[in-house]
Parts: sequence; C-alpha cells; structure tokens
Amino acid sequence: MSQLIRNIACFEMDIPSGNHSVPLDFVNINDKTIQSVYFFSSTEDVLMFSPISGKQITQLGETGPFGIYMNLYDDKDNHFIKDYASDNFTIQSEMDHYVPYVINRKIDWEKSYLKTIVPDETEYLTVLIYVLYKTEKLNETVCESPSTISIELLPNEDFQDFCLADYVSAEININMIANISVSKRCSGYIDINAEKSVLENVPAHFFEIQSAKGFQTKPLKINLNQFFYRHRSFSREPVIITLSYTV
Amino acid sequence: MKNRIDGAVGVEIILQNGVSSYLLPCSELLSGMRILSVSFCNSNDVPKTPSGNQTLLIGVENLTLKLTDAATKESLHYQVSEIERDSEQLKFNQIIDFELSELIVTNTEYAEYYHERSVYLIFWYGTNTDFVLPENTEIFPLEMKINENKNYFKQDKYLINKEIIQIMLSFPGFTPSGAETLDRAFISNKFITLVGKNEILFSQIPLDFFHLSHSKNTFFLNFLSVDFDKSFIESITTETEELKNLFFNVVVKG
Repeated sequence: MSQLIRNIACFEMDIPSGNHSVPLDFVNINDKTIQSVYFFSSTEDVLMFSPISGKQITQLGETGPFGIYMNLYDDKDNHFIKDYASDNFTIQSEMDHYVPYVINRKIDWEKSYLKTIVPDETEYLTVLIYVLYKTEKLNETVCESPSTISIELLPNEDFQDFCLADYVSAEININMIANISVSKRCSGYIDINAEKSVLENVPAHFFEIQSAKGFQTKPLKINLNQFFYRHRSFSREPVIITLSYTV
Repeated sequence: MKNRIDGAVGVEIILQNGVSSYLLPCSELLSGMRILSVSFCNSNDVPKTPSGNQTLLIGVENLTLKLTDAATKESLHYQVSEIERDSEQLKFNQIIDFELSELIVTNTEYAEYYHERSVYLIFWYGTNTDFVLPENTEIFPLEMKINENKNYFKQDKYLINKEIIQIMLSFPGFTPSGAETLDRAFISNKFITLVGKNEILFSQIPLDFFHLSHSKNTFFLNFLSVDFDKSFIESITTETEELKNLFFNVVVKG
C-alpha cells in the first residue's frame, strides 16, 4: 500500500517561538490537485541540513515540547483539515512514525495556516514541508522486466551534490525509472527533474522506508543529467541508490 | 492491516495456580463477529488490565490460544508469543465459537509466575477486504481532559454523523487550545471504549493502540459512526501529573 508519488515540491519554513498562526501562502501550488502534505525532521542520530538554505533541520521529536497543527482550506472554502497534529505527518530521518493520508483536493494556500505553540525559551524551528501533487499523466510504457543498477556514492564533505549521470556508464541507456530505493541511513536528498514530473529535494529516506507506509514513484521518464543526490549531513557513510529501469 | 475494522474487545483471563485451561470469557460483543486479528498485550505496554490486575510478566511462551471456528468446529492452536503486539499479528478471518475456545497453559512448572496474573487479549473484528487508502478525507481535532477514573469525550459538531476512518492519538507538547498534554509514559494504564449509535464498538482497548503514527500496521475503521458523548477513557490511576489533556485527530470520509 505504498503511496505513489508523481511530483513533490519542497519548501523550507522557520517557525518562531510563541503562539502564532503561520500562513502557508508561500506554497504557491494553486492549480494542482494536492495528494498530501508532510513535514520532514532530523533525528538525533541522523542530523540533516536543509537543501535550500543549508540550515540544520530541527529535531521535532515525537513527543516534543511543541504544538504544531496544520489547518487547510480547499478551493471551495471548506476548512477540511483542522488542527492536524504534526507528529502524524512528520517523517523523521530514520523512522516511519507517521500516518499516510491522501486529500486529493486543490488547496487555498492563502487561507491555510499552521497553528504553532513553541515555548519562548526555544529558538525558532526550521522544518521542511513536502507537498505531493498530481499533474498530467505520462504515457507510461509497460515495463515488463526492468533492469537494476546500484550506484555507490561516497560523500566526503557535509554539503556535496552528485549528478548520477557522472556515475553511470554512458553505455547504459536509462530511459524510464520504475523504482528508486536507497541504502539505510541515507542522509541526503534526491532531486529529479523528469518529463512531466518533478521530485524536488526529496529526503532519500522516503525511498528507504520498507513498511507499508513507504513511497514509490510513478514511472519517471528521465535524463540522468537531471537526477541529483544532494548530501547534506556530517555522515560519511556510503550511499547506495538502486534504480529499476527500462531502456 | 488491510482490513476494515468494525470494533475490538479486550478480553481478560485471570490465571490460577494448578489450572491449565481457561474458557475464553464469552463476550456478547464478539458474538457472531468476524474476527480479523488478535493482539496480546505484554506487561511492558499494559502493566495492568482495566480491572487493575497485573498482567503476566514472564512465561508467555507457555501459553497457547485454541480458537474454534463456529461453522466447522475445527480448532486451531496459536502460540500466544507469536501474537504479541508490534510483531506481525496473526490474521484470522472467521467467526469464533468462544464456548469451544480456550487459553491453555502448556507448562505449569513455574505456576507461581502465573497465579493471579492476567492475560489480556484484544479481539479485532470487521470486514476482510483489500483496503485502498481513502481519498478526499477530512481531519478534525478531538481533545479530552483526564479528570478522574472515567472520562467522557465531548461530541464536536464537526464529528456528528461523520463516517470515521481513523482515530489518531498523538503527543504534542500543547493542544491547540494551549493546554499541556499527558506524557506518553502515562498512557499504559488507560483504556478506550467507543460507542456507536446503539452499540459498543470498542471495549476497553489499551489507548496506545490508537497511537497510529507508531504502528507498523496502521488500521482503518469501517466508516464507523461514533457517539463521542457516550464514549470514554478509563484510567486505572489518576495521579496529579496524569490530570492533563489527551489529543486526537479524527479522519472522516469527506
């Protein structure tokens, strides 16, 4: 029952201390049907930096001293998600402690907001917001027996970008990717610009989750020059990205 | 869990010295229901049952559950250690004849460990079906203050006549109203009972089962109508630090 993803947009957000209604108007995906909205947070064991600003992603924890609630209005002015607690939709960098959900609506981002209660002694929180949305379907070729390739990347800096085209022999002609999986504790982001699909700075951890809560991409028609792994952590563990593909 | 859950019932069996088999208390709530799964509550997650009795600490490997199919009268035996919660739960799809079903202690050598200890089982019932993650869902808050041993919910206008798909307990630091929430450490002595229009749907289920974000097998309700005014949470103890708020989100069909 993996959640199928076609497009993901990534936004970074700072949440100040105190009690606030933080507008979500910066999520400017107004004309698309939204599937789900998730937060991404670091954990103590897998600290990560933002792929956008380079700031450290806050460890929200599962029983943390905060109250963060999502409030969404749809384009028909229905307040259909009211005070949804963030620990249900926060995916942490090494766990699958969240609840998958699908909303399938267009959102009025101008009216939507987060209700936040953060103790005054806490510095602002930096979180990443991932918005899964639909676009026009690709004419997907039937992929009867995909081949598999594993690509090993060896990060030696905290911030390092790898273009996968540099690590795959030019003789291997990858046209359509059927599935992506990554090795454990992969502390970076996968950034793909495919035909009719954009996966923007998606935590590689999303493709590590093996339980029924995991994510799977729809087939992606891709040029590997547009497939990046963006390493953003202190970790120096090798990263293995495995692609199932057809030529 | 792929199935859709109509309800669940907590069943307590108090073990006694020298007794090796126990008929399962035949709850009327389970009569004729299609059992989909059984959970065993270990003493870490549920130290005491709703009656206040201590749960079995060790020796689970010596317990066998004999379940008899109501239609065929065929009995199957299951090791209780295999159905401990958080492991892959055994899947059933049958109506059980509880009068012909029993809990068996297979080794009574260490009887002192068993005497007056409770085995607490949860029988989940519902509809066996391939389940697709529902789309067009709506999500609403539900808040409760623990004040005493038995605490009733208050029906929110958003939830009246809604078809409920999930009820999710969570542990934010503060509720949306700004109230402090109960620490997760105090959850193991709390049990939830959910009432439908005229019937009990969930009876004395350890509250932690509703902490869905931590569940490997997130379960879905069968579009249930719940009367929250009649539904409640029992707390075995009510120490001062427990008198705080609980916060849920309720997912309904849009």
